[in-house]
Amino acid sequence: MTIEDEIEVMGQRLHSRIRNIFGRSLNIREVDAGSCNGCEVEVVSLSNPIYDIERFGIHISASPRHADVLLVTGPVTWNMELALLKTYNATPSPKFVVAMGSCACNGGIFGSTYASCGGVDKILPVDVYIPGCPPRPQAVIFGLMVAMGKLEQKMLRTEVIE
Amino acid sequence: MFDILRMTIKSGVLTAKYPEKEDHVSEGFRGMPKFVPEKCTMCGDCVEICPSSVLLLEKTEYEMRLTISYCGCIFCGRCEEICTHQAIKLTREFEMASKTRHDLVSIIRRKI
Repeated sequence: MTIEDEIEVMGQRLHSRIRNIFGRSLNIREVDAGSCNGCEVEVVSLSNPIYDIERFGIHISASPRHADVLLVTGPVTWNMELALLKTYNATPSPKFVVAMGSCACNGGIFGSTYASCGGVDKILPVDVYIPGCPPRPQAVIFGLMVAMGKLEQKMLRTEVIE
Repeated sequence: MFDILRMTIKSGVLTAKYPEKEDHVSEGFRGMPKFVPEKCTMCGDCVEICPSSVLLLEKTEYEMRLTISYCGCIFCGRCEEICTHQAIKLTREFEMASKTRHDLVSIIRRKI
C-alpha cells in the first residue's frame, strides 16, 4: 500500500471512531464569550418541550470538565479570551468546538476591533459553524447533528461564472 | 387531580418532529440571501449598505467578482431593499451549518 492509501484508511478509521464516540450522546458546555445574549436565548429554548434536545441524547452540562462539546457564542472579546482558553484546556479530549451565531463565525456585526477578536477561529480550532443572528433552534439542532455525524451538511460553495 | 390529568391527556404531545419532518417557516422569515446573477449589474450598492461588511466587490483586469460570505451575515435584509435590480433575495432557508468556512461563500464572476 502506498502512503496515501494508508493515510486514507487511517482517516476512515478515525471518522468511524468519532461517530462511535459522539454519535450516541453529547454533553455540551455553552460558553458566552461576550455575546449580546440573543444566541443564549435560543440555546435556553432548546431545552423546552417544543424543541427538546434531550430526546437526541444531548445534555447541557454545568462544567467544561464534564463536556464533549464547547458551544461558543459571541465574538470573543479580549476580556474573555483568557477565560475561553482556560475553558478549552479544561475540557477533556476528545472534544470539539461549535461556533454558534454570526458573531462566533467571523465577528458578525462587531467585527475585529479594539474590543473583540473577531470570531472564535482566531483563538480555538472550530469544527462546525452555525450562521444565523440568532440561529433558529432548528438550525442549532441541525448543526449539532452535522457535528455528531448523523446528518450531512447542505451548504456548498457556489460560484457562478459568466 | 383529575382535572390536571384530563388537561394533560387533552393537550397531547407538543414536541416538534424536527428533523424527521420538514419544518416550514412562515412567510416573512429572513433566511439565507441568494443572488440572481442574471439581474446583477455589479453596481456596488449592496456592498456599501451591508452593516457587517460581508459583501465584497473586487475588480481585476479580466473579471469582476461579487462575493457574499454567510459567516457574518446578520440577515437584516438591507441588501434586498437597496438593490434596484432585485438581484439579491432573502430566501427561507435556515439549515446553514457547515464544517468549513470555505463552504459558506457564494460568488458571481463576470468577465469584462
